[in-house]
Amino acid sequence: MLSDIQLVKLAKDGHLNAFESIITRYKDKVFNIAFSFTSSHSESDDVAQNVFLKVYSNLNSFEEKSAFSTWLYRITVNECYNVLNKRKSNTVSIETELAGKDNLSLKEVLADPKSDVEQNFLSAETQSIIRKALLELPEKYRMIVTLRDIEDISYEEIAQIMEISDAKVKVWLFRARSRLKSIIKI
Amino acid sequence: MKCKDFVLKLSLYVDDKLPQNERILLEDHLKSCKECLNEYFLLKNLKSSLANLPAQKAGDNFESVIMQKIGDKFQETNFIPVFFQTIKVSLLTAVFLLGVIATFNFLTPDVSAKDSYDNIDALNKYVLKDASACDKIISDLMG
Ligand SMILES: [Zn+2]
Repeated sequence: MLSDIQLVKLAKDGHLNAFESIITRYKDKVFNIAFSFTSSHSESDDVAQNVFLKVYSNLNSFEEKSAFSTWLYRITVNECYNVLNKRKSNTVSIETELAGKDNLSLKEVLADPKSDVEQNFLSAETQSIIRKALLELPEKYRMIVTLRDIEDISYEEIAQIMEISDAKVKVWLFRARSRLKSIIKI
Repeated sequence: MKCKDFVLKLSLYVDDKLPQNERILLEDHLKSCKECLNEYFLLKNLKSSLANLPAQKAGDNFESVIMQKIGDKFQETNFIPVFFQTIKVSLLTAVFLLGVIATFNFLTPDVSAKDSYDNIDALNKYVLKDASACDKIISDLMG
C-alpha cells in the first residue's frame, strides 16, 4: 500500500486516481470529525467536500514539513469553524439531528467502577446525551475533545493541527473534560 | 498535595501523559481517597464513552462527487496546459507537412522538365500530324 506522501506526490504529478485514494483513506475520519463538531450530516458533508477540494487546490503548497494527516486535519478544523460561522450568520438556525431528549443523568453509568464502556454498546440515549453535551462546549474545547477522545490523536499532533502549544493542549483538554462533566451533570 | 491538586492531574493520567514520579504519587493517593478515585472513574468512563460513539461515515459515492467537482472546478485552470498541448500538436503537424512537401519536391526535381519533354513530344506529334496533313493537301492540290 502506498504511503500518504507517495500518494500526494502522484497526485501532484496529476494522477487523479492517487488523489481519489487519498479521499478514500481519509473521508470517514474527516466526516466523523465534522459530525462530532456539528452533529449534522448535511453540514458534515459540506465540510468534508470543502476539505478535499481545498486539499486538491492547495496540494502544491503542502511542503511535507508535517505529516499529511496533520495538514489535512488542520484544514478540517478550519472548515468546521467556517461552517459554524456560516450557521451563526444565518438567521434561520440549522437544526442538528439530535432528538430533543431530556438530559438524563449518566452519573450512575459513568461513576460505576465496573462499568466498562469500552466493551459496551452505547445506547442511543447515551449517545444523544453525549453529543448534545459536546454541542454545548465552546468551539475550541469541542474540537480538542473531538480530536483527542473521539479520534485518538496524540497531544503533539493536536498541537500542530490546532496550532497551539503543548501546554495549551493539556490545559484545554482538562477544561473541556471538566465542562463536559458539568454539562452532563456527573 | 491536596485532592484538588490530584484531580488536576487526572486528565493527564487518563491519557498516560503524567511523568512517572507524579503518576506514582497519584496512584498512591487513589488507593486511599475514595473521592478522587470516583473522579478518576468518571473521567475514564467519559473518555471511553466519547471513544465509543459510533463513527459517522461519508457516503459511498463521496469520491465520485469530489472527483466530479474537481473536474468542473479545475477545467478552467487546465485550459493553459491544454492550450499549449494544442499549440504543440499544431506545430508538429505543420513541421510534418512541410517535411512531406519538401521531400516530395526533392525526390521529383525533374517533374517540370519531364512535363516539358511531354509537351515537346505532344507538339512534335501535333506538328508532324499537321505536317502530314499539310503534305496530303499539297499532293492533292498538285494531284
Ligand atoms: Zn483525594
